[in-house]
Amino acid sequence: MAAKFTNAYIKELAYKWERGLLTDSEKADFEAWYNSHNDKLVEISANYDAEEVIKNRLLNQLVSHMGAGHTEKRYLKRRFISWIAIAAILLLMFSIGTFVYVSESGGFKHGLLTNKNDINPGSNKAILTLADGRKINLDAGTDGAIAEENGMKITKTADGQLIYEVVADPVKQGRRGDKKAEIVYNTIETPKGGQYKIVLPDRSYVWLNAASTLKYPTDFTQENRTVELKGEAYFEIQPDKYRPFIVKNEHQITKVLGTQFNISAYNKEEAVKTTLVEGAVSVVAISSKENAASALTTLLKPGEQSTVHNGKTSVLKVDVAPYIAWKKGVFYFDETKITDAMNQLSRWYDVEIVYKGDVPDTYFYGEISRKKSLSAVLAILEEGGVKFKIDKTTGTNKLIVY
Amino acid sequence: MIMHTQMSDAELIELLRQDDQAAMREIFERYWKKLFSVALNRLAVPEQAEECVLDVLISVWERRNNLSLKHTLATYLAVAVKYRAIRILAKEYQKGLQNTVELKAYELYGYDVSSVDEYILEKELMETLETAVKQLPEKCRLIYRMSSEQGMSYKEIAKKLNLSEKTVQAHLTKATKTLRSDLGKQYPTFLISVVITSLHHLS
Repeated sequence: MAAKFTNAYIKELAYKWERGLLTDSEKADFEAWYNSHNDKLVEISANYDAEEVIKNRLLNQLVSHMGAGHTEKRYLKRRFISWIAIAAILLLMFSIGTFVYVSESGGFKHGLLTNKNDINPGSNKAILTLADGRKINLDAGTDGAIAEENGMKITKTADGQLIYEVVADPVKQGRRGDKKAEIVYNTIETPKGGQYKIVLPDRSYVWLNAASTLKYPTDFTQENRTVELKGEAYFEIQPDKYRPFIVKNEHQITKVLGTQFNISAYNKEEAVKTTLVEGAVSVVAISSKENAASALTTLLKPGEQSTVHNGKTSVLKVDVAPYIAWKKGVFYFDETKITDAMNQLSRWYDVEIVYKGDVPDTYFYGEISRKKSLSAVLAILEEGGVKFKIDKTTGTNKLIVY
Repeated sequence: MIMHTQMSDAELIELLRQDDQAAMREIFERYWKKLFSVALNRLAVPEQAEECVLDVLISVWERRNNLSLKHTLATYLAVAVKYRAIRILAKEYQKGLQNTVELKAYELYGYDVSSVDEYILEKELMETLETAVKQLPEKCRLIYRMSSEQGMSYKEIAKKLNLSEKTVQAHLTKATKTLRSDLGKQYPTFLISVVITSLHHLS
């Protein structure tokens, strides 16, 4: 029995368990291994650090996370480290006396800015449009159940999530084959400076970035689960072999069974980028000329990114980190062109970008929390040799780059 | 003023809502070692076990405004760490898969699933457990709570309630059986056995 439980075997069982692929005997093995642990305090090998060292290390990281209000990546690439350390020191010097944070809680409370020429970061803001046309503002108002529609209960949480749950109804048993069941759509739209997370009726998650729209049925009763996206969203889709999940966009159709991926489809940027974190998706480009889906289906593997432009698809292997960083609450720049970085700032801070003179040939590196106010972010970016100015004199806020 | 060390888990959680970092530090003090043991037992690699525990605690902090744990923090933390450990193990296996030339069929078809999300774990499983515990007969419930939430031993419970140790044991067995059966209506047996084994408050 002990021989069966090699490290490799357990890892395989863990993987299969997550996906519901265990055979009965494997299930028994996994449970046996799992319950075989006596969780009284374990002895740490002499080769590893002492208990006090481990404890302090963990505590320090926890405290620093709570205090800093942004996630410190533990695997920062070597070339970033000294750069960010310098930036952090400069930021500290810059921030003293310039602005005060009331608190950097997970709820995106806005800090009190004593420097009036600064712009607050985005927050959990969105507008939900129900099937009957009613619009509900998701940033204001009380949390909790906000609507009940077509057998679905819609709940809003304090930390910016919209959750769809089926109201228990035994009559719904036969609903899968019931073609008469009317499909009812809701739409959620984030403004610039907004973001929101939606828990769909099948418990798939969608994080919607700023300036984006997601249209989705309130309940997945058909043979597939189809949603429509404009803008950018990060998806974590529950597997369902009977109902593939489909994301439709003006320029691309994406099909998945269960997986994690990011789609960036902002009209301004012209190309649709799909970055796959885990699982597999297929991407089909829609050619605007023929207004039909191309015959070519591209299958993506984890770590790959497809770019769909003018009905054509190309695939690259990428480091997914920069593309999914927003969902984790950070800007992640890795040899990022200034125009791309500025577009991201523009959407999150709701500013118009103005280049004084030519667009500088600058690339940015580093990771910055999206909870910081705009001037805090710019202070770090100015290390790259670019100068910024926030202009709030006219009706629209502008960010001037020179 | 009452010290954090003397507060119950429920009181600490209430303080977390007010962004009280000291409350979070107290939670760390109470559980870090036990959680580390739980993680290390399953992962074998200390660095991974550290990361596992840290991630779970950070997740609690991040969701502090919306936690409904109250009486079940200890259980929740243990379960969350166990699940995250499984996630880490599964990820390792997956890395190995991707290095081989031939990916298995289900890999190509995108079978993938995010880990048991801590939010779902808390909102669903823990709330179901809490409801089931509330429905236990009074003495049974009291004894269960003393054992699983306050970490008291049979001896301590017996002494406090003026009962024999055998009686205490009988009540606990009954509680476990009932909870298993209640939860079993909604969740697979594996999940239940993970939840029922409890985490004891280090005193």
